[in-house]
Amino acid sequence: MLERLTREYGFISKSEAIRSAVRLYLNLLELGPKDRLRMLQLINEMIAPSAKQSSALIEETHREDDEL
Amino acid sequence: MEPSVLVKLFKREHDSEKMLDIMEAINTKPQWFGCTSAWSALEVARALRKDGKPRELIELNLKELRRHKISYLDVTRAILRRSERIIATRSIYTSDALHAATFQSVSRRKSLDGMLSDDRHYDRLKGMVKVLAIEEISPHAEIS
Repeated sequence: MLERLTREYGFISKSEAIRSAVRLYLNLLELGPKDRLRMLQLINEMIAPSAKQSSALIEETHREDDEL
Repeated sequence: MEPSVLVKLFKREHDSEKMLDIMEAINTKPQWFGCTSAWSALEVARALRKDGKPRELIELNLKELRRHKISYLDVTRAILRRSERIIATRSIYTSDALHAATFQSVSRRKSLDGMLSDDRHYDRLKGMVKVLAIEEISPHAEIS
């Protein structure tokens, strides 16, 4: 997804796409907290889409901690 | 708040929109109070890493998390001792024990209604603390 985004929007590299996303977020700081979070969800989804559920991710980290 | 509900703030999944409403209530309504263990920020960071998010995005998400009116409770020696007792008596992940111990140690003082948790952690924690599922919360309701 990030590679496609980089190609489609003419970013030089994936890191440039990420930097642009960070800049976009910084420009959104004047938005209300709820809208900012909603935009950040979209940025997260655009940069690194994932079908994993939050509960499964936390479960994995808990299991990992106990296995270490 | 247990960390998986915090991770929901950064993902678009079932209950994410409701979590945004809950955060808004915590941010804007004086009767609402939200807290979590300071340890949760690390778990959120690790979960986002496991979700494939790059460093810059993880840092951005954590900065955003700190912009909200969530109190981060210190992991004190007393909480660690309480966690040890929980672990000694139950088959439970260390992090779950820490969150349960944190809740137990402050629930009366802070008049907490319950620990907000996702479905998966609900059953595991409910024998130890009063657990609230996201669907049980009405962020638009007025609290007297």
